Amino acid sequence: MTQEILLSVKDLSRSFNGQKAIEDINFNIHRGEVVALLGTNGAGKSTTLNIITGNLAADSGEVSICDTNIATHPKQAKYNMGYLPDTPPLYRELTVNEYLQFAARIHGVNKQDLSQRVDHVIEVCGLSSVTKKLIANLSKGFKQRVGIAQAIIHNPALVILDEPTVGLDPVQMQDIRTLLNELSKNHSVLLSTHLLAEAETTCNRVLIIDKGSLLLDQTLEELNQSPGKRVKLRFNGNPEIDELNAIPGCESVSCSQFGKYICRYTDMQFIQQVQARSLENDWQLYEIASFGGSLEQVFLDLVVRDSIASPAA
Amino acid sequence: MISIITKNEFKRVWHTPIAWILLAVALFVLGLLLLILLNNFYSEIQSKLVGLEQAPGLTDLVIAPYMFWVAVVGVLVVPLFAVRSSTEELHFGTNVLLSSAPVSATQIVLGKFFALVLLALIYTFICSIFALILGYFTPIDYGKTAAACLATFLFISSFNAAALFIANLTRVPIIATAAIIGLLLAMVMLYMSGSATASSSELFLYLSNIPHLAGLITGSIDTTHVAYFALFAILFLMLCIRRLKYGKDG
Repeated sequence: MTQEILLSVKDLSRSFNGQKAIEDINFNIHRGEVVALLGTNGAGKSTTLNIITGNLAADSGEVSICDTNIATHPKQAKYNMGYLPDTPPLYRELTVNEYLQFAARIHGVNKQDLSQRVDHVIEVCGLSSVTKKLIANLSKGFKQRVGIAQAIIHNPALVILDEPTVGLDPVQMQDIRTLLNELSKNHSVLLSTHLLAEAETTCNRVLIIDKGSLLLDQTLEELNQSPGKRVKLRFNGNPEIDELNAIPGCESVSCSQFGKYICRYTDMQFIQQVQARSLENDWQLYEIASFGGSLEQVFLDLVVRDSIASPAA
Repeated sequence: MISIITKNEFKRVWHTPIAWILLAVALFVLGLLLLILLNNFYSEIQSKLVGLEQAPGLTDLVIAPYMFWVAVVGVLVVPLFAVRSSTEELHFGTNVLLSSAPVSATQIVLGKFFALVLLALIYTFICSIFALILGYFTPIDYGKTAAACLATFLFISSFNAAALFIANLTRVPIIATAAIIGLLLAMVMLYMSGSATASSSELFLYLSNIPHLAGLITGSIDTTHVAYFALFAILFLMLCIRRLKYGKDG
């Protein structure tokens, strides 16, 4: 892809008290993309987002926003990013207008452009009727809108939203999704969610994360066009990713920290070849399962059924 | 950027009733205290001073003790806003607004500290009006009164830096408040240890902030005391900045 890379995440790992929260996460987000980071609760989504936004240090790996490393040049990197955490960071005692003015100033909007930017986000986020209201008195849906407004107030290239529809009623959810679609016209968006319908209606690419490992990175278009072209493999012998990649018909391979390999293939010959190589090299293949189709099917195959099959992992 | 954060923090304080209530209660208590000190001075002390050479006046016997109590009440009240400004932000997650914005840890800490300093300034100013009103009815030493106000302001402001650091260590407001009061008690203990007749130590007296307040409040502007308050504030501000910078690791 020749498009400009806005967010680059390389080999990101982080542990808490010796327990790995995320391991070797790699992905890029290009200009114009709306990417969903999918995973169950505790999969590592928020840890990943906290590291990307500079709120948590990584044990290893690198995050660059518009080619600026967030660990070494946090201020410069943050000018290009807007962030809405899972709990919107709102000052309840301020009015919507006061809060947005403050958010604009700390994000580097100068005094001349201040009222224009505030007016713009008020219009985009549909906040005109509540500008003079105290944030404490707003409904949850409006609070979420104010949170989104502060994330885009400085017109960043990349907007990161952590579960923006959690706790909202269906009408409010629909409103926020419409707003996300509006945002995607002018910003690249990384949206963390565990709602598959949300990812399908608002995003054009999905990343599936489970138990701290990135299991899938594909566009929705690819996902829909190539049903059944994925296979989940488990070995006792832990072969190298390169060895699997070298098998004819293999398109890509990813491996989770628990020894689960997800392979995309173009030719059915790949499956036979894997079995043959396993015998040859004593990889001790003990699970082979094809999956694919809709996002829901893929998600269930990769994440949910796997946790039912191996609760100890 | 520091001024933007200061302005916002200061504005937020006055948007809630807690600041108004605390200020009203503090002024009521201090007003009563001044009345008691005045009454005591006119009914008991003044008659005993007649005929004494270089006898202390109203400034030494009423205004100085009053300002001492202003300082004590101030370090109990104003640091509560440090808890509100930092611990509650961690508790409710609003700190993410600043930490994900292009703002450095130094700017955040200084912005919040100056808002607290501004509060300390307003508190000291309002409380000193009580004392200055006396000057309308009877001669007072304005120089000494100004030194007492400066002492009170420096004492509260420097303690605010320590309160800000403590408030950044925990997400639980009650623990932060208890720890701040604990630090104040530690300062009193140091002062008591330093001034005990059996095992007094100059070091304890120098480490505690109370002797420095007492030194300045009597009217002699000693740079040692001013330097102490400045160093006290700088030390805790640096610790606070460090905490904010490296807190991301844990």
